[in-house]
Amino acid sequence: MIFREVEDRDLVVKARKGNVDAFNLLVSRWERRVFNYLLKLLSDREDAMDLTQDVFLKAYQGLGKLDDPGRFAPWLFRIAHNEAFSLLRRFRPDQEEIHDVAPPPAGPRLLPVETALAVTAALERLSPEQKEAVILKVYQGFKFEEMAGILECPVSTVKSRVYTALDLLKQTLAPTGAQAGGLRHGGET
Amino acid sequence: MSCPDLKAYLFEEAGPREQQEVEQHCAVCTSCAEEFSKLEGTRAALLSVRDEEMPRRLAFVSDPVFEPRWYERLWQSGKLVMASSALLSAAILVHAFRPGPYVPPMAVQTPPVEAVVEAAVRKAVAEADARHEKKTRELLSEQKREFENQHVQTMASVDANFELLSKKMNVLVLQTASRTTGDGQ
Repeated sequence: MIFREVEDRDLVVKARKGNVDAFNLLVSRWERRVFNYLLKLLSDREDAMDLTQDVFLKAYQGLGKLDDPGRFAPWLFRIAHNEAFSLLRRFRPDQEEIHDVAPPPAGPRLLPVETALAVTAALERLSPEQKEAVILKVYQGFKFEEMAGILECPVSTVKSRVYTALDLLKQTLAPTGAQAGGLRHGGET
Repeated sequence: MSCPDLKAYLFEEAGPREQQEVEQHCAVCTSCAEEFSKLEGTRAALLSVRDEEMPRRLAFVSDPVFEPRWYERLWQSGKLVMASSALLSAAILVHAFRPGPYVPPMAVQTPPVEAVVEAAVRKAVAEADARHEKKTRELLSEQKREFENQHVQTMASVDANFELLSKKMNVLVLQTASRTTGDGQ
Protein backbone atom coordinates (compact mmCIF):
# COMPACT_ATOMS: atom_id res chain seq x y z
CA MET A 1 0.00 0.00 0.00
CA ILE A 2 2.88 2.33 0.81
CA PHE A 3 4.54 1.54 -2.52
CA ARG A 4 1.23 2.12 -4.27
CA GLU A 5 0.91 5.56 -2.68
CA VAL A 6 4.44 6.43 -3.68
CA GLU A 7 3.75 5.34 -7.24
CA ASP A 8 0.57 7.42 -7.39
CA ARG A 9 2.45 10.44 -6.13
CA ASP A 10 5.17 9.87 -8.70
CA LEU A 11 2.62 9.52 -11.49
CA VAL A 12 0.82 12.68 -10.42
CA VAL A 13 4.09 14.61 -10.46
CA LYS A 14 4.91 13.29 -13.93
CA ALA A 15 1.39 13.99 -15.21
CA ARG A 16 1.66 17.57 -13.98
CA LYS A 17 4.79 17.99 -16.08
CA GLY A 18 2.84 16.98 -19.18
CA ASN A 19 3.39 13.24 -19.20
CA VAL A 20 0.05 11.97 -20.52
CA ASP A 21 1.12 8.34 -20.19
CA ALA A 22 1.53 8.82 -16.45
CA PHE A 23 -2.03 10.08 -16.18
CA ASN A 24 -3.26 7.24 -18.36
CA LEU A 25 -1.68 4.86 -15.90
CA LEU A 26 -3.54 6.56 -13.06
CA VAL A 27 -6.77 6.19 -15.05
CA SER A 28 -6.25 2.50 -15.67
CA ARG A 29 -5.41 2.02 -12.00
CA TRP A 30 -8.44 3.81 -10.54
CA GLU A 31 -11.17 3.71 -13.19
CA ARG A 32 -12.72 0.44 -12.00
CA ARG A 33 -12.93 1.55 -8.39
CA VAL A 34 -14.41 4.92 -9.27
CA PHE A 35 -16.90 3.24 -11.60
CA ASN A 36 -18.03 0.79 -8.92
CA TYR A 37 -18.32 3.54 -6.32
CA LEU A 38 -20.57 5.50 -8.68
CA LEU A 39 -22.47 2.40 -9.77
CA LYS A 40 -23.36 1.45 -6.19
CA LEU A 41 -24.30 5.02 -5.41
CA LEU A 42 -26.38 5.70 -8.52
CA SER A 43 -27.54 2.15 -9.38
CA ASP A 44 -27.29 2.97 -13.09
CA ARG A 45 -24.50 1.66 -15.33
CA GLU A 46 -24.69 4.35 -18.00
CA ASP A 47 -24.76 7.17 -15.46
CA ALA A 48 -21.87 5.58 -13.61
CA MET A 49 -19.90 5.19 -16.83
CA ASP A 50 -20.53 8.76 -17.98
CA LEU A 51 -19.67 10.19 -14.61
CA THR A 52 -16.50 8.10 -14.38
CA GLN A 53 -15.40 9.68 -17.65
CA ASP A 54 -16.25 13.14 -16.31
CA VAL A 55 -14.42 12.47 -13.06
CA PHE A 56 -11.16 11.63 -14.82
CA LEU A 57 -11.52 14.54 -17.20
CA LYS A 58 -11.96 16.93 -14.28
CA ALA A 59 -9.13 15.26 -12.45
CA TYR A 60 -6.84 15.78 -15.43
CA GLN A 61 -7.81 19.40 -15.79
CA GLY A 62 -7.52 20.08 -12.06
CA LEU A 63 -4.42 18.06 -11.31
CA GLY A 64 -2.45 21.25 -10.75
CA LYS A 65 -4.77 22.15 -7.87
CA LEU A 66 -4.05 18.97 -5.92
CA ASP A 67 -2.05 20.17 -2.92
CA ASP A 68 -0.57 16.84 -1.90
CA PRO A 69 0.14 14.46 -4.82
CA GLY A 70 0.26 11.63 -2.29
CA ARG A 71 -3.46 12.06 -1.58
CA PHE A 72 -4.59 11.47 -5.15
CA ALA A 73 -7.19 8.79 -4.30
CA PRO A 74 -9.19 10.78 -1.71
CA TRP A 75 -9.03 13.81 -4.01
CA LEU A 76 -10.28 11.73 -6.95
CA PHE A 77 -13.15 10.35 -4.89
CA ARG A 78 -13.97 13.87 -3.76
CA ILE A 79 -14.50 14.76 -7.43
CA ALA A 80 -16.56 11.60 -7.90
CA HIS A 81 -18.65 12.47 -4.84
CA ASN A 82 -19.36 15.96 -6.19
CA GLU A 83 -20.31 14.60 -9.59
CA ALA A 84 -22.59 11.93 -8.14
CA PHE A 85 -24.44 14.21 -5.75
CA SER A 86 -24.76 16.86 -8.41
CA LEU A 87 -26.51 14.30 -10.59
CA LEU A 88 -28.65 13.01 -7.72
CA ARG A 89 -29.79 16.53 -6.92
CA ARG A 90 -30.55 17.35 -10.56
CA PHE A 91 -32.36 14.26 -11.73
CA ARG A 92 -33.60 12.46 -8.67
CA PRO A 93 -35.56 14.87 -6.53
CA ASP A 94 -37.95 12.00 -5.75
CA GLN A 95 -35.22 10.20 -3.86
CA GLU A 96 -37.62 9.51 -1.00
CA GLU A 97 -39.47 6.93 -3.08
CA ILE A 98 -36.37 4.81 -3.22
CA HIS A 99 -36.49 4.35 0.54
CA ASP A 100 -39.87 2.69 0.24
CA VAL A 101 -38.49 -0.38 -1.51
CA ALA A 102 -39.46 -3.30 0.62
CA PRO A 103 -36.56 -5.41 1.79
CA PRO A 104 -36.70 -9.14 1.18
CA PRO A 105 -37.52 -11.15 4.24
CA ALA A 106 -34.42 -11.99 6.20
CA GLY A 107 -33.88 -15.68 6.60
CA PRO A 108 -31.35 -17.78 8.37
CA ARG A 109 -29.37 -18.41 5.20
CA LEU A 110 -29.67 -16.84 1.73
CA LEU A 111 -28.42 -17.99 -1.66
CA PRO A 112 -25.74 -15.77 -3.26
CA VAL A 113 -28.25 -14.26 -5.69
CA GLU A 114 -30.70 -13.63 -2.90
CA THR A 115 -27.97 -12.09 -0.79
CA ALA A 116 -27.02 -9.77 -3.64
CA LEU A 117 -30.65 -8.72 -4.04
CA ALA A 118 -31.02 -8.27 -0.32
CA VAL A 119 -27.89 -6.13 -0.16
CA THR A 120 -29.05 -3.99 -3.09
CA ALA A 121 -32.47 -3.50 -1.53
CA ALA A 122 -30.99 -2.77 1.89
CA LEU A 123 -28.59 -0.20 0.45
CA GLU A 124 -31.45 1.47 -1.41
CA ARG A 125 -33.27 1.99 1.87
CA LEU A 126 -30.46 4.14 3.20
CA SER A 127 -30.18 7.86 2.61
CA PRO A 128 -27.68 8.80 -0.14
CA GLU A 129 -25.24 10.06 2.50
CA GLN A 130 -25.45 6.86 4.55
CA LYS A 131 -25.19 4.72 1.46
CA GLU A 132 -22.14 6.63 0.27
CA ALA A 133 -20.54 6.27 3.70
CA VAL A 134 -21.00 2.50 3.57
CA ILE A 135 -19.63 2.30 0.03
CA LEU A 136 -16.54 4.32 0.89
CA LYS A 137 -15.93 2.38 4.09
CA VAL A 138 -16.86 -1.19 3.23
CA TYR A 139 -16.24 -1.40 -0.50
CA GLN A 140 -13.50 1.16 -1.04
CA GLY A 141 -11.76 0.62 2.30
CA PHE A 142 -11.08 4.27 3.12
CA LYS A 143 -10.18 5.30 6.65
CA PHE A 144 -12.57 7.58 8.54
CA GLU A 145 -10.10 10.42 8.22
CA GLU A 146 -9.79 9.99 4.46
CA MET A 147 -13.58 9.84 4.19
CA ALA A 148 -13.81 13.10 6.12
CA GLY A 149 -11.55 14.63 3.45
CA ILE A 150 -13.60 13.21 0.61
CA LEU A 151 -16.93 14.26 2.08
CA GLU A 152 -15.60 17.50 3.56
CA CYS A 153 -17.17 16.93 6.93
CA PRO A 154 -15.90 16.09 10.44
CA VAL A 155 -14.73 12.57 11.26
CA SER A 156 -17.48 12.35 13.87
CA THR A 157 -20.11 12.92 11.17
CA VAL A 158 -18.55 10.24 9.00
CA LYS A 159 -18.51 7.75 11.86
CA SER A 160 -22.10 8.58 12.72
CA ARG A 161 -23.22 7.92 9.14
CA VAL A 162 -21.35 4.64 8.89
CA TYR A 163 -22.52 3.40 12.28
CA THR A 164 -26.16 4.35 11.71
CA ALA A 165 -26.13 2.78 8.25
CA LEU A 166 -24.57 -0.38 9.58
CA ASP A 167 -27.25 -0.68 12.26
CA LEU A 168 -29.95 -0.31 9.62
CA LEU A 169 -28.30 -2.84 7.32
CA LYS A 170 -27.86 -5.24 10.17
CA GLN A 171 -31.62 -5.47 10.62
CA THR A 172 -32.02 -7.17 7.24
CA LEU A 173 -28.60 -8.60 6.42
CA ALA A 174 -27.33 -9.99 9.70
CA PRO A 175 -27.59 -13.75 10.00
CA THR A 176 -30.03 -14.81 12.64
CA GLY A 177 -29.46 -17.62 15.06
CA ALA A 178 -26.16 -19.10 13.93
CA GLN A 179 -23.00 -17.17 14.65
CA ALA A 180 -21.48 -15.69 11.52
CA GLY A 181 -18.00 -15.52 12.92
CA GLY A 182 -16.22 -13.96 15.83
CA LEU A 183 -13.48 -11.65 16.90
CA ARG A 184 -10.18 -11.83 15.12
CA HIS A 185 -8.74 -13.42 18.24
CA GLY A 186 -12.03 -15.03 19.21
CA GLY A 187 -10.83 -18.52 18.49
CA GLU A 188 -8.06 -18.14 20.98
CA THR A 189 -10.23 -16.88 23.81
CA MET B 1 -19.72 -2.06 32.57
CA SER B 2 -19.66 0.16 29.43
CA CYS B 3 -19.50 -1.57 26.05
CA PRO B 4 -16.55 -0.77 23.75
CA ASP B 5 -16.77 0.49 20.17
CA LEU B 6 -17.35 -2.76 18.28
CA LYS B 7 -17.74 -1.05 14.92
CA ALA B 8 -14.36 0.67 15.13
CA TYR B 9 -12.90 -2.74 15.90
CA LEU B 10 -14.77 -4.26 12.96
CA PHE B 11 -13.36 -1.69 10.55
CA GLU B 12 -9.86 -1.92 12.02
CA GLU B 13 -10.00 1.70 13.14
CA ALA B 14 -9.45 0.93 16.83
CA GLY B 15 -6.04 1.42 18.38
CA PRO B 16 -4.13 -1.47 19.98
CA ARG B 17 -5.51 -0.65 23.42
CA GLU B 18 -9.11 -0.44 22.21
CA GLN B 19 -8.67 -3.70 20.33
CA GLN B 20 -7.57 -5.43 23.48
CA GLU B 21 -10.51 -3.96 25.40
CA VAL B 22 -12.99 -5.25 22.81
CA GLU B 23 -11.50 -8.74 22.85
CA GLN B 24 -11.48 -8.94 26.64
CA HIS B 25 -14.98 -7.51 26.88
CA CYS B 26 -16.51 -9.84 24.29
CA ALA B 27 -14.96 -12.80 26.06
CA VAL B 28 -17.20 -12.12 29.04
CA CYS B 29 -20.16 -10.21 27.51
CA THR B 30 -22.46 -12.52 25.54
CA SER B 31 -24.63 -9.73 24.09
CA CYS B 32 -21.61 -7.82 22.74
CA ALA B 33 -20.16 -11.01 21.27
CA GLU B 34 -23.50 -11.67 19.55
CA GLU B 35 -23.72 -8.07 18.39
CA PHE B 36 -20.24 -8.30 16.93
CA SER B 37 -21.18 -11.49 15.08
CA LYS B 38 -24.16 -9.70 13.56
CA LEU B 39 -22.02 -6.78 12.48
CA GLU B 40 -19.47 -9.10 10.95
CA GLY B 41 -22.22 -11.04 9.17
CA THR B 42 -23.63 -7.78 7.80
CA ARG B 43 -20.26 -6.74 6.48
CA ALA B 44 -19.76 -10.20 4.95
CA ALA B 45 -23.15 -9.92 3.20
CA LEU B 46 -22.23 -6.50 1.85
CA LEU B 47 -18.90 -7.78 0.57
CA SER B 48 -20.57 -10.69 -1.18
CA VAL B 49 -21.63 -8.19 -3.83
CA ARG B 50 -18.49 -8.01 -5.93
CA ASP B 51 -17.25 -5.10 -7.96
CA GLU B 52 -18.39 -5.15 -11.57
CA GLU B 53 -16.19 -4.94 -14.63
CA MET B 54 -16.54 -1.73 -16.58
CA PRO B 55 -18.68 -1.96 -19.74
CA ARG B 56 -15.84 -0.28 -21.62
CA ARG B 57 -12.51 1.23 -20.79
CA LEU B 58 -12.25 4.98 -20.58
CA ALA B 59 -11.02 6.91 -23.57
CA PHE B 60 -7.65 8.08 -22.41
CA VAL B 61 -7.11 11.79 -22.49
CA SER B 62 -4.37 13.21 -24.63
CA ASP B 63 -4.93 16.94 -24.56
CA PRO B 64 -1.67 18.72 -23.80
CA VAL B 65 -3.07 20.49 -20.73
CA PHE B 66 0.16 20.31 -18.81
CA GLU B 67 2.55 20.90 -21.67
CA PRO B 68 5.15 23.52 -20.74
CA ARG B 69 4.56 27.01 -22.09
CA TRP B 70 6.80 28.46 -24.81
CA TYR B 71 9.01 30.38 -22.38
CA GLU B 72 9.37 27.27 -20.20
CA ARG B 73 10.43 25.27 -23.25
CA LEU B 74 12.85 28.05 -24.22
CA TRP B 75 14.24 28.10 -20.71
CA GLN B 76 14.63 24.33 -20.80
CA SER B 77 16.38 24.45 -24.19
CA GLY B 78 18.56 27.39 -22.98
CA LYS B 79 19.65 25.33 -20.03
CA LEU B 80 20.48 22.50 -22.39
CA VAL B 81 22.59 24.77 -24.61
CA MET B 82 24.42 26.15 -21.56
CA ALA B 83 25.09 22.67 -20.27
CA SER B 84 26.39 21.56 -23.69
CA SER B 85 28.66 24.62 -23.94
CA ALA B 86 30.04 24.04 -20.45
CA LEU B 87 30.71 20.39 -21.25
CA LEU B 88 32.47 21.29 -24.51
CA SER B 89 34.62 23.94 -22.80
CA ALA B 90 35.60 21.48 -20.08
CA ALA B 91 36.53 18.90 -22.71
CA ILE B 92 38.74 21.43 -24.57
CA LEU B 93 40.48 22.48 -21.35
CA VAL B 94 41.08 18.92 -20.28
CA HIS B 95 42.41 18.08 -23.71
CA ALA B 96 44.72 21.14 -23.72
CA PHE B 97 46.32 20.48 -20.33
CA ARG B 98 46.43 16.72 -20.47
CA PRO B 99 49.95 15.32 -21.22
CA GLY B 100 49.95 13.53 -24.55
CA PRO B 101 50.98 9.91 -25.02
CA TYR B 102 54.72 9.07 -25.37
CA VAL B 103 55.86 9.35 -28.99
CA PRO B 104 59.29 7.86 -29.97
CA PRO B 105 61.67 10.27 -31.85
CA MET B 106 61.56 8.26 -35.08
CA ALA B 107 57.82 8.41 -35.14
CA VAL B 108 57.97 12.23 -35.12
CA GLN B 109 59.96 12.35 -38.37
CA THR B 110 57.69 9.86 -40.12
CA PRO B 111 54.83 11.59 -41.96
CA PRO B 112 51.47 10.68 -40.56
CA VAL B 113 49.55 7.91 -42.25
CA GLU B 114 46.69 10.25 -43.19
CA ALA B 115 49.07 12.53 -45.14
CA VAL B 116 50.58 9.58 -47.02
CA VAL B 117 47.17 8.23 -47.89
CA GLU B 118 45.95 11.67 -48.95
CA ALA B 119 49.00 12.20 -51.23
CA ALA B 120 48.54 8.79 -52.80
CA VAL B 121 44.88 9.48 -53.40
CA ARG B 122 45.65 12.87 -54.95
CA LYS B 123 48.27 11.33 -57.25
CA ALA B 124 45.92 8.55 -58.34
CA VAL B 125 43.12 11.01 -58.98
CA ALA B 126 45.43 13.29 -61.03
CA GLU B 127 46.63 10.35 -63.11
CA ALA B 128 43.10 9.21 -63.76
CA ASP B 129 42.09 12.77 -64.74
CA ALA B 130 45.03 13.01 -67.16
CA ARG B 131 44.15 9.67 -68.73
CA HIS B 132 40.56 10.71 -69.21
CA GLU B 133 41.58 14.07 -70.69
CA LYS B 134 43.95 12.46 -73.16
CA LYS B 135 41.37 9.91 -74.24
CA THR B 136 38.77 12.66 -74.68
CA ARG B 137 41.16 14.68 -76.87
CA GLU B 138 41.91 11.62 -79.02
CA LEU B 139 38.23 10.85 -79.47
CA LEU B 140 37.46 14.46 -80.43
CA SER B 141 40.23 14.66 -83.02
CA GLU B 142 39.16 11.31 -84.51
CA GLN B 143 35.58 12.51 -84.76
CA LYS B 144 36.79 15.73 -86.40
CA ARG B 145 38.81 13.83 -88.99
CA GLU B 146 35.93 11.54 -89.78
CA PHE B 147 33.59 14.50 -90.16
CA GLU B 148 36.02 16.28 -92.53
CA ASN B 149 36.39 13.18 -94.70
CA GLN B 150 32.62 12.81 -94.93
CA HIS B 151 32.32 16.49 -95.83
CA VAL B 152 34.92 16.21 -98.62
CA GLN B 153 33.21 13.12 -100.05
CA THR B 154 29.83 14.85 -99.95
CA MET B 155 31.20 17.93 -101.73
CA ALA B 156 32.86 15.77 -104.41
CA SER B 157 29.61 13.95 -104.97
CA VAL B 158 27.74 17.27 -105.23
CA ASP B 159 30.29 18.58 -107.76
CA ALA B 160 30.00 15.43 -109.89
CA ASN B 161 26.22 15.59 -109.88
CA PHE B 162 26.28 19.25 -110.76
CA GLU B 163 28.67 18.61 -113.68
CA LEU B 164 26.45 15.79 -114.96
CA LEU B 165 23.38 18.03 -114.69
CA SER B 166 25.14 20.80 -116.62
CA LYS B 167 26.07 18.41 -119.41
CA LYS B 168 22.49 17.19 -119.68
CA MET B 169 21.28 20.76 -119.80
CA ASN B 170 23.74 21.62 -122.58
CA VAL B 171 22.63 18.61 -124.60
CA LEU B 172 19.01 19.59 -124.21
CA VAL B 173 19.74 23.19 -125.23
CA LEU B 174 21.62 22.05 -128.31
CA GLN B 175 18.83 19.67 -129.37
CA THR B 176 16.21 22.35 -128.92
CA ALA B 177 18.30 24.82 -130.98
CA SER B 178 18.78 22.35 -133.85
CA ARG B 179 15.01 21.59 -133.96
CA THR B 180 14.21 25.27 -134.13
CA THR B 181 16.68 25.85 -136.97
CA GLY B 182 15.31 22.87 -139.02
CA ASP B 183 11.70 24.01 -138.66
CA GLY B 184 12.75 27.51 -139.85
CA GLN B 185 14.39 26.11 -143.01
